Amino acid sequence: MAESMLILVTKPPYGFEEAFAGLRAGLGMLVSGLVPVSDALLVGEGTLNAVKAQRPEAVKMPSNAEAISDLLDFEAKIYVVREDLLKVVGDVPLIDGVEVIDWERARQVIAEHDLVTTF
Amino acid sequence: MLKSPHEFTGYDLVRSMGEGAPSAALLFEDAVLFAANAKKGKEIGSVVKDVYVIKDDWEARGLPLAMPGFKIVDYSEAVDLIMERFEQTITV
Amino acid sequence: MKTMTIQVRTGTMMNMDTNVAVKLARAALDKGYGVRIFGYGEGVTLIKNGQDPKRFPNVGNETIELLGKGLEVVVCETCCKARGIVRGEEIEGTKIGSLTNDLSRFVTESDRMVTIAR
Repeated sequence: MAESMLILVTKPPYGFEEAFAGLRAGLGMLVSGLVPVSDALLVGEGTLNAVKAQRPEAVKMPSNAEAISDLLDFEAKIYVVREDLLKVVGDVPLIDGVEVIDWERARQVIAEHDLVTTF
Repeated sequence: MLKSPHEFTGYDLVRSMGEGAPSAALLFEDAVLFAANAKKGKEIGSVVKDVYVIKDDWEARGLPLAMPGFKIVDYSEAVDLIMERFEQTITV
Repeated sequence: MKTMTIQVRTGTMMNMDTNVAVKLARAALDKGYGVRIFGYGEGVTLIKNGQDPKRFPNVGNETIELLGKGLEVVVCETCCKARGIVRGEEIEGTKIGSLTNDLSRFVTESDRMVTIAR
């Protein structure tokens, strides 16, 4: 039975509900106390959820940056795939506390978790 | 226009995730179209060990099979793949 | 008994995703696996009672049939509220629940999770 879940975030912030929903699902696992490990891996455009300069108030949406900070507060790991971020927007500052990794490490992260769910 | 110029496709993700791992792709709904196009079929076939195509979605579309190496499977076989043959499932 | 959780995040009439979910659930139940469905986001529409599509498969009725085979279905309450779905509107035998109480339990009970979403 599963003891760890990885939230694989592929969608960018604010155009879709998906990324926020995924990060909140990850938080729900940790808050429950039932699932000891719940981390997030941001890939493709999902890497944009970790951009430091987000201003969600401009579209009156809940903050994906805050959702990441909440997960970090619960000691979740937030991984961002560097080559995907560079491909989409280049080297932009990211939220403090996220871990920038390459795809080789990302594949290990996926393998280290019992369940993976995509958002 | 409403869509991002960078939309990440299932193929991109499978290619990045599948490298070096014993992986397979199980195609549902419109993903079965990989089996009807030799160029796209070869692309997906090159990044995973096996490709499985769900039978009812494939038959519904009435298309010629461009990838004879792809295996047509029913839902019962799909459950075997998910529950017994592979350790993880990742939707893309 | 090995268990599969299917997380559904697509609305019942958006595309064929919920049909895939119920077909997968049926096949897994028929093979003796435990099956849970968690509806999240638009996926909460799966449990709305009174679904009556004229020409498309009725996933509401399919769900009712699978409940009799042991399927457990829970959907996210916050997502229901956002869509104006209230308690009493769910198919009998399904539950409006939460990520914290229900999806977390499904995770701990599951050997595999299949995500049905775009």
